[in-house]
Amino acid sequence: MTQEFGHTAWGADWRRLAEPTYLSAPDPRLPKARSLTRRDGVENLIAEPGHISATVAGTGEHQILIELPVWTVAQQRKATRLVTSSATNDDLGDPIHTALGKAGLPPLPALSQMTATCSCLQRTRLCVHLLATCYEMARRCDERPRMALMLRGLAEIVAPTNVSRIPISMIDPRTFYPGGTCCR
Amino acid sequence: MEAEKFIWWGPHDLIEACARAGLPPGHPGQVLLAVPNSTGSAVTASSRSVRMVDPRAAVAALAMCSNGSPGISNSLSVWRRIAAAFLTGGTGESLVEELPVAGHTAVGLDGITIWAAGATVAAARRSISRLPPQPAAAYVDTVLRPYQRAGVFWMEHAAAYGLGGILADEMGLGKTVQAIALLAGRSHGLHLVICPTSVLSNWSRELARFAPQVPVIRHTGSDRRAAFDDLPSGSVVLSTYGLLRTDGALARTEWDVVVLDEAQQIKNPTSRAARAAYALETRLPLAMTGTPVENRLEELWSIMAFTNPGLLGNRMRFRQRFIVPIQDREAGAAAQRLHEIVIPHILRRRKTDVAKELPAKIESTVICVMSDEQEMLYRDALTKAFEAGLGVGFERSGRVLALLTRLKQICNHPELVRPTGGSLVGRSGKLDRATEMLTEIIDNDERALVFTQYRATGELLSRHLCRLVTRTAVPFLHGGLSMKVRDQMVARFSDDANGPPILILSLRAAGFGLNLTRATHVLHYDRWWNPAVEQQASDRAHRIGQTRTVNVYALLTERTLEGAIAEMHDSKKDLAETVATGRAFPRDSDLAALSDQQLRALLETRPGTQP
Repeated sequence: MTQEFGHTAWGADWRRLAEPTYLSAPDPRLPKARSLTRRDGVENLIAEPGHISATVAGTGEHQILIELPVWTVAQQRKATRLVTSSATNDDLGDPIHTALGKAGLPPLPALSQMTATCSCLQRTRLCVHLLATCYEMARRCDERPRMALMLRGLAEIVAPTNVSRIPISMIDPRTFYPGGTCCR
Repeated sequence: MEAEKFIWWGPHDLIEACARAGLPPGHPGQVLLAVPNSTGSAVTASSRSVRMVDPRAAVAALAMCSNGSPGISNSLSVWRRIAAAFLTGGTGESLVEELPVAGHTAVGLDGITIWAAGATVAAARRSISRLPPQPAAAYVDTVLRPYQRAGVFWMEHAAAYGLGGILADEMGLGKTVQAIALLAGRSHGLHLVICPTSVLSNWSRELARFAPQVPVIRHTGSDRRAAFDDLPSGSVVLSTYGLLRTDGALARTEWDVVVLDEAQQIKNPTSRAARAAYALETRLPLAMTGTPVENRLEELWSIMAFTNPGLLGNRMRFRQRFIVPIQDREAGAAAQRLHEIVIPHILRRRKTDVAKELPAKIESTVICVMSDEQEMLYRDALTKAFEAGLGVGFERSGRVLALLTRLKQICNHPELVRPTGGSLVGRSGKLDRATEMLTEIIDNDERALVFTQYRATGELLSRHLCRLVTRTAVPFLHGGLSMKVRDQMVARFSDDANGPPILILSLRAAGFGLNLTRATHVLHYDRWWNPAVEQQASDRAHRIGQTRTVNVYALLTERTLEGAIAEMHDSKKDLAETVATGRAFPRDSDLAALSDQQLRALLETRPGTQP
């Protein structure tokens, strides 16, 4: 059976954050966290390079903030090269994940390099709200592996260069020259 | 791009700005441009006042205007260099990368894309250079509307990038003619067109009409060829989905363009037709469909596995990434992402987008094939009638009328003359085609009127369409109903948002007073000798109050008396003269005046309508 959360290497990183292999006894909060995610309890999730914020509805509403290090410019360049040389379409396969890891650029850093806070102030390492957010991130990275790279600073949307028509939503406003007389 | 004009936009004092830069002011216009929104966070489509200039005048002026002109923008300055390159015989290709988005930001007719810099520059060059098209494409090039030329251009560009695409313009916008222009313009290699049997004749006829120089081979029947290597380059092979599944010769050939018409036929990726399509070797795989394919994810994947293999990943992964999130969780981000991936490869323009360019009414003839059952019954009825003799005088009139009625009913459906109680599918070319067309119309949330002159045909259509197309009752308005019932039917069709999408009408009952402008499609299921009768019926939909383009389709069965009627409407054959009644158009009863020989010639295989 495929994993509900984290069936790709990209999503699995996040699932493992919630379910580290060193857990010897089943964590009773995990089923609850999964059920929260399944019922779309993780809301307003905003993922940007270097951080993730969300609200989790459980008993009351809780604010989540996760921060993680963005790759340096050199690292980003190296990662982009790796990705563009092996990606055949917009989707990214697991082998690219493996290649990044081998090149010393694991898409998700170790938990020790991240900060994860929740407004519930529970003192366990990861509260149920953070666990639910991990599952939600697993789900999103499964659907869209490029999201994992975006968190480290790479462009999430790569406009294809070999098409004659470009969707308006993919035009980057920063490369647009406003004003001036223009044509066509 | 689709208007084939240069656009000046930007400053508030446009005319003065043009004068300062030394550019012709052109005509005023209102166009959609993709521009950054007020906060600069995204680019959106917005309607702007612009000046539109003919490409030749624009390029000449651009090349002349000096770089130091005041107020010259970056994109204008790049265009100035491109124009200069054009005039010295260059392509401007090396400057494409420098052109900022502002320099090619006019929104396409589909309303959701802009044309890329490379495509825009290439189109501009083409519009001024008047490169003579391939000789075989010369004629079709003259009949294309600008948006259709843009469609052909898009398909050619896809080929240049090694991609395929889905031409998904709404029904009535001329997908076939765009495909023909593409095929006629590519003279290297062989082309293959796969379509349902019901539109095969239509393809033959349209190819002969728009690209008479292109050699066309119908690859059907038991006497079909085993190989195509002896065909001249640029030939078009026409075949059907049925043969695609089984014919080895199609799979063994290396094609230049393969067109799958009515591509929803391969919506199931595990079907034999779909697998055979994926296995075809082609430089440019194209699919044509009028259904809104983007919203049917399984179907989209299947068709794109043919046109753009690999783009959407394998089927399992596509389910995980898109189908599950979009359908089960209504994930907006996934839908948006899918849209961005597929939209460059699907060209879908709606009639409302193209409205400015379209006439208020578009009439077309849809040629349908006879099924074997129809063919047999039709020939049999003719032979029997002439063998028994038609007599003279009053008796002759009666027998001719009876014969004509029988023949027309056979064209409509064999079930009408020889009831079997069995399935209606696959027995009448017209019914099959009408079913396909109406399905597409309803998929696009539009409404249609279907006219017939026979009560039994109307009832048969009503039952059949209800079962296969609408799954709700299809009303049939005919003379046997009380005025009150008819009024209710009309009111439900016209005013009720949940009313029936199809209304069948008997021509006689519907001739007067009805206003059915809710319908944007009119199908004439059978024909009248007098086109004025059909005209009057079509005007139920096409009349004051109608704001949209109305498509009128006349269905006709090839090689039957329906072909003769069509020829007469086209004034190819002045039957009125032959019959000599003094009336502009004859009636069925007038045909009794013809000799047996004349009558038989009229009703039998008519070479004029045989593709």
